[in-house]
Amino acid sequence: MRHNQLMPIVAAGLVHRGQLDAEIKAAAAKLGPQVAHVSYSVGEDSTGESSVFFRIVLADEASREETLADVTGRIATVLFDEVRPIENWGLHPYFNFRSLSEQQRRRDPEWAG
Amino acid sequence: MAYHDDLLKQASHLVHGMPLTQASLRRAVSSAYYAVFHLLIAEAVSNWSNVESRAALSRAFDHGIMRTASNRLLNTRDFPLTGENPVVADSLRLVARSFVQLQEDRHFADYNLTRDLELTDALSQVKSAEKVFATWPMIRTAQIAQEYLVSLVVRQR
Repeated sequence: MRHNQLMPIVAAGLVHRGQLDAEIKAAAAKLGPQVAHVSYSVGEDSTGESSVFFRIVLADEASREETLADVTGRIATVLFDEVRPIENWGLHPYFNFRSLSEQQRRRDPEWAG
Repeated sequence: MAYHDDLLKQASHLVHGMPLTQASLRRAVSSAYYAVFHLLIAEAVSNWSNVESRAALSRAFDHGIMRTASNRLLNTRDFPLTGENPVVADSLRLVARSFVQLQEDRHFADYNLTRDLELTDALSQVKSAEKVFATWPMIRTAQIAQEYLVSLVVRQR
């Protein structure tokens, strides 16, 4: 289905991948220098619900424990409010974070920029 | 100290332990989830006037029903919370969002070994649980917070 940019989602109907991609990129652009990269995938969560999984690589400075809760909370709120994954896409959002140095060590392609 | 407080303390202890192992990081995320799970249940059953029956009543809560109730609250189209104090509404949604996220991450931490859990990811989940513990006392008396607690135990028809 990749060639026509449509991804089948059982519960949520069809997700227009190109449009979702554009909205996420626009939202990610508002996150500022604390974020090194945002990637995502669409699939089912552990309960079988259609979901979008955000993988957010933070600048090392933004990953410090003292500010981590505020940083991750702000990022999740921006993506939540800008993309409106539940209301506009029928997707439950999940947000996971790693630092840039962790990603450079792992070189995990799913998290790569 | 209440059980949920113990669990949160344990989560923090595990994520700060040395040496950091996959086992400690994963148990930290799991403990963080169960801390929030038991906090919400304790708050709900505290409305039951018969103190001796609260522990038994706690057994009525179900992870799936609590997740469904929390997800419903996150849908601003179906639940705009019009007329509510926006600070309270936002705080309640933060609690609901954190609960759902923690439950999913608990599932990963306990069962999915296809990739390692990183410290930042685990720490962010523990911090998220701590945020719930800090936020809840500020909204717990609001009517919408009390209605949320009831929704956690009532299966939607």
